[in-house]
Amino acid sequence: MKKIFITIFCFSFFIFSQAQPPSPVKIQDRALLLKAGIIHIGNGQIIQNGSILFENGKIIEIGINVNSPTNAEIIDVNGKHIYPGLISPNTHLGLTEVDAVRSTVDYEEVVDFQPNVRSLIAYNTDSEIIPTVRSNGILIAQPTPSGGIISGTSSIVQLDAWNWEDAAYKIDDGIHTNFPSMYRRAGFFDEGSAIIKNENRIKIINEIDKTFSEALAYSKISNHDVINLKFEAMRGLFDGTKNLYVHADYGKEIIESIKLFKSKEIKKIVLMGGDDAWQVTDFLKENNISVILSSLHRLPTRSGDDVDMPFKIPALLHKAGILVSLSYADGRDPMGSRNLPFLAGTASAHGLTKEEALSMVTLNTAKILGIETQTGSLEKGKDANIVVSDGDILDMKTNNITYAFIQGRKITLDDRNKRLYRKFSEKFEKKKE
Amino acid sequence: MEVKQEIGKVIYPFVAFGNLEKPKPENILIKNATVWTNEKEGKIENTDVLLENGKISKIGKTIPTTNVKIIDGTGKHLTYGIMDEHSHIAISSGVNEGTQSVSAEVRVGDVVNPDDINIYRQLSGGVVASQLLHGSANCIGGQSGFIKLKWGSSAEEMKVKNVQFIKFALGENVKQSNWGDANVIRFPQTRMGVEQVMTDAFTRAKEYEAEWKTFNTNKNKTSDKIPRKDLELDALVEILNKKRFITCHSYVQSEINMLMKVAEKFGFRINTFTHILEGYKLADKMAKHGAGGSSFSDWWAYKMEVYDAIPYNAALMQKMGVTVSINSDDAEMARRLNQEAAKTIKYGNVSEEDALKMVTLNVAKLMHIDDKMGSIKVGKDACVVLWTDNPLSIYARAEKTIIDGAIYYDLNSDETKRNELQTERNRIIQKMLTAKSTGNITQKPIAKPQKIWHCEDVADVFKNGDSGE
Repeated sequence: MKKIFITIFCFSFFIFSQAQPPSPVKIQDRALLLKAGIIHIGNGQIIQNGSILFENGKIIEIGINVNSPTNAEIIDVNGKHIYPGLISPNTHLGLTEVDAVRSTVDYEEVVDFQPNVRSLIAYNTDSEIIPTVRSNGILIAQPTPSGGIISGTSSIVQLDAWNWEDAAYKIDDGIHTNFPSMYRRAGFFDEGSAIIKNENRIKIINEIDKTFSEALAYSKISNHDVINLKFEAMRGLFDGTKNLYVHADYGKEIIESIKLFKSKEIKKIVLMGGDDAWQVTDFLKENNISVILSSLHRLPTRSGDDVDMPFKIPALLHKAGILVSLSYADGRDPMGSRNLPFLAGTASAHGLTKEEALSMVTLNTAKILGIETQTGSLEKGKDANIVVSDGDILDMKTNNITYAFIQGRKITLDDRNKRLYRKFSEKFEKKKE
Repeated sequence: MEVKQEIGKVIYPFVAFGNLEKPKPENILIKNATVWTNEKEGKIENTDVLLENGKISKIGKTIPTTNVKIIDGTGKHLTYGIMDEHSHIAISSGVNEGTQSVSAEVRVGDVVNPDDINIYRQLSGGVVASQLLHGSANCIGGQSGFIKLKWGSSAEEMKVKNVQFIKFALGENVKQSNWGDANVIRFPQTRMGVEQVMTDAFTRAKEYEAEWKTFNTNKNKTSDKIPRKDLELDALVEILNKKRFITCHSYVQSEINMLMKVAEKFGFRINTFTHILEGYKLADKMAKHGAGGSSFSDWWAYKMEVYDAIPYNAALMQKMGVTVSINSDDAEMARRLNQEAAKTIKYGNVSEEDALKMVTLNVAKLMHIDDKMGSIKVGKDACVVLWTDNPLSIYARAEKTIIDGAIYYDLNSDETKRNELQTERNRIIQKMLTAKSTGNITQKPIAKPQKIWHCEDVADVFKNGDSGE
């Protein structure tokens, strides 16, 4: 009896020591077959009672009858749901630990025009927040700089890595710019402060105009004697290797900013935030602009707005034929970004099907970020970024992630919150004995 | 030529989505719904509920339908209205008397703003009542107000009488940890100091009470012997005599334990710890003391004192016998409070009915109004919500929100209100254009947006000062 007890004790200790902190596992060494699940492809399709085979980090086969190689690990998911791993764009994940503690904050530099500062190398793979976000099904994120007029360059990472180098999924995917508002508050804290015109606006727009014109001219020559680091970083905007992410909310600002950047021969423009995007759908459609919306779990912009604002904005944009993705930006990011699946749930509750809403946190996001050949849906040849949930992933009532795979590696779903839960559950259990 | 004066209709309140007529209580029969009673009957299907004279008057199958407004509840769910234990909406001009550490004399009830559009937004989320709290700038903040969200009524009509609470606070906000380098002077600046502020306040209150007792029982009363009236100490004496109850903003286990001991020393109990994100660490002590816990669902990590916060907090506290509610402290979450409650199902396997109680019955219990509110029981106030789906599901919408038998939110008439708003807006714009074209004086529009308050906002303190932005 004592021997069994010791064995169990040692085994438990082993499990807990493995989970502290969640350690990335080796490269997928064995083929794996997930069988008998409801597969949500991510592009609208569902396969009832389907199976998915992946090996060497790639999806090999999906369907009703999938044969697996003899040495494959087989997991029967018993009718549970299989989804593509969710993607969280425009986030501070890994760039801040405790927002109130300045020394942990690395997403905002002090200079106005800083396209060359890069989030990738400041990304902390060991943030305690990352495992809590994985636990809800998010496997890929876009750590993004903020602040200033041009905030910097983002990258896309997968959330299971020892260091930023291993985490890199798409390096330097794009540059972020905050278009100046037409209006501002007169006094910041005061309740009675009026909204007045932003007097600095024209000045800033002129600076943006000048900067981009010079950057465009700079990019025409491949080798400069005098290197300008900022313009070097901006080359990609003109040859299409980098997106320009334009952060703008007010209807007129959206139109004005996109027109300005188009005139500078920027190849790929994406609208970020876009609180008023639903008011300018014709313009967005004409100019082929995709939108990554800020968190839907916010109050309506104007006091006279419909009460189901902003919940129905994804449906409004979708109906107008615009490619829409959801982000948790401007919400309680990054710790709140684990609620990304529920933003999709809210979108689905207001005018979209569940599969349409799911696309807005998977395939649509991948398309906009330029990683759709690698991920965003469960299709042959793509990376095996997969999650299994007991129930509907979009509803907090039923979301419960039991398995998750990043590039085919089974990742641990333990996190700081769960550890503390276990620690104190056990304390109270023991007290009862 | 006489120009016909055309005046817009008065709506209650006089803001977007106001009512043409103030909602009146009606006799309403909700038929054939799934009723979440919050009583021992639990969740019962295909059941009718009759509301009469502002109360729940009958619950059963096939209640007679004469002289009632019938609402078909087939396929829908009826719950008690959602209540928010921790709210800062409908408050004008500031939420924190952030000047001194003890400001027990101030009253949120004095500054209720019934025109706040967030009242209407929360009605659309199934909320029927909110405790409006002072912020968390001070150890001892101010007396709270408890309102039913009767959109269109005056502040006085909204306030529920005889709900006597006061806001206390512990932790980083009261010690001004995150207010910048200028704010390092006011005592307390550490958790050590907080205990002394609390102890000192109640010591003074006890002395004050004794002073007045002596004076009142004195046979030879003269005006020169009368003690000084102190509104701040009056409020604290109410707490000592269990006439006023404390809801205390709190995070870490050390300070929670500290305050329970201070209360026990002075012979009273802390009614509710709010936020209480480390409550799970000492849920056993909380249960023993008799304190309730009103928690966020899943916030953590944004400041140091919430680094050990876990979304399993509510579930763990409840397991240990603490009365738990889920609150918002945020106008955005408050309109999705049913979803926040549903998170306890995911984080900790709380049952659906228990999760719903965390935003209904348990709030009523914590506020000592569970004799009148909180469950669908004959005799209780008719504050109910009809949902399109399971109320804990993200897909559910509130179709009707009823307070004291009057319909304050209706998904269908909301549609009508939108059209009315649009029409009225156009009418006013046309009028302005006409006035301008006929040569009248114009002025630039000035928008004054509403401020959304949070616990830590100290707008008025910094208004003319040199600290703050």
